[in-house]
Amino acid sequence: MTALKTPAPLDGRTAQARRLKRRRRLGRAGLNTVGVLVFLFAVFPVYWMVSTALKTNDQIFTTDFIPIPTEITFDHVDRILTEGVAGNSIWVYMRNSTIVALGTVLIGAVLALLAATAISRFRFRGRTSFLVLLLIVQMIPAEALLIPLFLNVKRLGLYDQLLGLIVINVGLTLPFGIWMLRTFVAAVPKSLEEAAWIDGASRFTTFWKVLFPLVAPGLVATSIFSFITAWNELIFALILMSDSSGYTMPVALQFFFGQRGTDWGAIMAGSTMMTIPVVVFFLLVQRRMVSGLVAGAVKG
Amino acid sequence: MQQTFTPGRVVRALAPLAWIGPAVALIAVVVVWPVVVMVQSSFLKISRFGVVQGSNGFDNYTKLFAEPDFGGVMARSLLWVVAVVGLTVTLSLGLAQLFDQRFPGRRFARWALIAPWAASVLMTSIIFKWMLDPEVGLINMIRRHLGLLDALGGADADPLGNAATAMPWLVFVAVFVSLPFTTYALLAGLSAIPPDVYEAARMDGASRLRTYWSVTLPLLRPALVVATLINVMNVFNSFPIIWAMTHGQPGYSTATSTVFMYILKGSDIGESAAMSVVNFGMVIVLTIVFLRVSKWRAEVS
Repeated sequence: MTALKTPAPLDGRTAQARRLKRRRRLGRAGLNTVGVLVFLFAVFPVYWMVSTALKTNDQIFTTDFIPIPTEITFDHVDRILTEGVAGNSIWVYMRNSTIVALGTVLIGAVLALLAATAISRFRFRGRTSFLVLLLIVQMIPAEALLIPLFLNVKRLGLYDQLLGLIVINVGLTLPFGIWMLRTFVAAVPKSLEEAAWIDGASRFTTFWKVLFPLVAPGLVATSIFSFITAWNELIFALILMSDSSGYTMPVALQFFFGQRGTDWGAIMAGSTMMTIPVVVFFLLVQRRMVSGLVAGAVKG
Repeated sequence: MQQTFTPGRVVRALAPLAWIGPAVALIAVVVVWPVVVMVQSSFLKISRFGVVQGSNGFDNYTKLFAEPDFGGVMARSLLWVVAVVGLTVTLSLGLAQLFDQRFPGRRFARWALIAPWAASVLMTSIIFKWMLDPEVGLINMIRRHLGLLDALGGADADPLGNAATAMPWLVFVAVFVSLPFTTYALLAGLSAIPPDVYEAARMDGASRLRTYWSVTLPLLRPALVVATLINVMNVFNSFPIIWAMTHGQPGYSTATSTVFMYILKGSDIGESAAMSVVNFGMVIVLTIVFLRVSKWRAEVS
């Protein structure tokens, strides 16, 4: 950086160029080093989870430092798959988690898209208050609503039902979804829709055939966001499900924190089962998701 | 809808309702109504088993404020927000700057940063709890390996069981999980800055540091404000990290207001509701202060 300030000799153009080149190469090496460090730092917890899941108990419960398992075993994976936990197969919990997460995503996407369209396409009374409401809702920790929500869910006859969890997850992720989607809807030129109207399309057809395809990337971003939230939600699943056949994965994992010490191998195997599909999916849609999520959030 | 024969005005007035109604109804049932109940319960006397025993006036609040741990919890919550958000934003600024450069390994580093995000807050907290296990956890192993264990509390150093070390570790994990979103938000802000601004700065002979301070940062401000705001709300209300790793223990030494509220629920629901109200009030105050300080209206709109 100091080199920048040194005035270059008038006749030393080649020397300066060489110096610049060398500095750029050094700079790139530095950037790569930092990049590698960030990579290792960010990936390490996930790596440690997977490697613990594949270690033998001898290598897990030891005071020796074993960065890479020298013996790989699928015992933990096998054990949680065959024995299950809390009286059910692990697939029951995976299925429940999948139902809750996908249900949240589908219902949430439809509702968010409808609301976001209304906000950016109609001028109506209460529009601003609705926007403020969305922002305020973001400021309330879900844990503060445990008891009232518990009562509401019971009142609606949704206690011990996955639908109850879906409704709550949708309600909690919806404000953020609407807030982000509205910028995507607003970015679609209104003239496109007007052209469709002139051609005689109904409002719904316009929405479905014109607006929807253009907003789809934003929808992907918000959907992934709510998927992650619902997939990992613990507290509500814990109190709204009394029958173990209705537990989701995060709840089931809690059973490995036993009184006779924690079964880290099993926990990490279960966590790996839960996490790897999401990580792989994230990497696949990475580009679209990041641009979508960020564009929505930042322009807000 | 436009072609129906019913009086057009009524239809047009009700049209937004059809679109927005379902979302409003759901938010009302899941958030607004529970909030009303929460505020109401903070003025009620409620038994441990949830039976309402009549009005309690402000007694829940006076009881809450008189809790010996209340002051500490509130101070800790503030410290928690300031520390986590401050560190997250500072580090994210650096990371975003790094990822904005072109270098061969950039793609992989960018991918890697998604990992903590995808692995979720809860999972990451559980993994760190495992790494911090006092007996067979990775952190103590490394310390033992380096011969540092004795210096850091002897053979059974328990990073999460010790009030002095538990909080810094929680802050570390919270920063770790907040970095991806913040970095990507700032990265988007950076890429929105037109390159010719930098060109102009170079023409004027500005140093890199000077360019960053006087050109990049001001242009980055809208993204910075939004990213910080989202972080403030999320971090203040963050429950899973602390709950999964320490349950607010030892004592109440790692309990923030959200955790304290959850703990109170076990003994006195009315008092817990009062804590929720105080908690909510605090987030609003924090948000308003932040928005005032950052003059976000002028920036964003």
